[in-house]
Amino acid sequence: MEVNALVRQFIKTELVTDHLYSDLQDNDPLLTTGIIDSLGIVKILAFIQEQFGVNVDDREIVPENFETVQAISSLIQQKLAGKQ
Amino acid sequence: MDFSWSKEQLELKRAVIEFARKELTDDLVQRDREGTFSRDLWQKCADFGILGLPIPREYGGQGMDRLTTVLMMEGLGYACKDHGLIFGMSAHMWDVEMPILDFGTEEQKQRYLPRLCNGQAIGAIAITEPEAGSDAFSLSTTAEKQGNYYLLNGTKTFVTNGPVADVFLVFATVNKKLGFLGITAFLVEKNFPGITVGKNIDKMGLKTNPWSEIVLDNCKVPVENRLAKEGNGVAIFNDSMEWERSCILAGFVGSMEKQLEETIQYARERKQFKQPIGKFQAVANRIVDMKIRLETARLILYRATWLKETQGSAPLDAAMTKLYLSESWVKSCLDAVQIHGGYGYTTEFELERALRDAVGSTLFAGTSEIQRNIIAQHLGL
Repeated sequence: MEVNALVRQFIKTELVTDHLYSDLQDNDPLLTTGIIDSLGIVKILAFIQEQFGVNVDDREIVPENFETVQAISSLIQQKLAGKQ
Repeated sequence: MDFSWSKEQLELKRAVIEFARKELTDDLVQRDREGTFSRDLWQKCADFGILGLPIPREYGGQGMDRLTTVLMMEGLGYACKDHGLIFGMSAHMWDVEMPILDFGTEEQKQRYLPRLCNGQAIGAIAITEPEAGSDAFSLSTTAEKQGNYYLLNGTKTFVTNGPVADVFLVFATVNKKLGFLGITAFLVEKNFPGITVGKNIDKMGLKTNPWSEIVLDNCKVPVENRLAKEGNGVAIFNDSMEWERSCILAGFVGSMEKQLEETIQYARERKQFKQPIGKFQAVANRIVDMKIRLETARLILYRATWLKETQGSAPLDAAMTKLYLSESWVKSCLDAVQIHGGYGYTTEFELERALRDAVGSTLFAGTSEIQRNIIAQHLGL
């Protein structure tokens, strides 16, 4: 499965509690809708580490890297590329 | 994991104990009663190098690794009963110096760390608000960018070191819509226009460490005083909390050891029914529990510090350490009071003060309930 699909699936399964967002798209906002909150970010960081084997540096925990599924996926892809 | 300390590390611990025995003695009972902070003792600790233990030498620190720092703080707690002083210094070190070291620009490190290490400046973290305690990231203090400065507005409370602080690490949101990722950290100096520091907040324990409210009313903070990027505040806060939760109680492990030794001595000397009270199983069992708590607290402290230092992030272990140490300290203080009987309840024996101080440790840096929530979350619950 591609990175975007895995991230989207994880967020839908673990973080989306409101049925309004059950059809989550890659560019839907995650922060302004509260889908990712301060507890959710911990789960996402653990997921990224476990699923993709990359660590997110504290300095990378900023809005532009977590505002959408696309942004999170891009961050992961950059990190995966850096590992190669 | 290697559990042994080097000869040099143990020598450093001994040196701190000797320093504290010689230099950190004053009328603590009186100062506790009056709630007086001692700048003199703070400066003595700075001169000895304690305030800069984990900070590299190039920024005025001692360049110690974190485990050695924790060992030395443990030594300090063993010989110094002023838990308020130790708590204040720990907050200064882990909550202000470390975020600057980990996230600051070179210019910020050069500007602030030497003064924080040598005692010229005292640091304080300001995140808690009257309506944002355990739910810290729901804070409402705002930071509005206007050209090359920000205007900060809001009220912070329970600011450790607040009334005596020179530099505040203030957390505010630059965009409420972004939720917790709008939170940004700023280095605010006490003489910046628009900051008002409130009076010392009287409290149950740790009375020699002053706390206060601070009010930010259009407080003008230059852009160069923002710590890291906009929205990086949560990462900074989490990093500082991991350090704090892992290490802030190191001094109190030393305190638990000293208290255990004194309680054993008392149980050997105090006679009732024609024998030392330590011969009664009811008393001995309490002391055994104190010993087990001390040794397990020590191990979990060293492990969390080692993980944080080697892996960079150890939120689960930091939470477990904070939870276990604080609750162990309270339980052991209660045991010590009980074993000393009526004497344990008196101010003169200094156990009631330790108990009052210990209760605070289950509240600051995240209550025991919050630590359990964090642990549960890491267990997938």
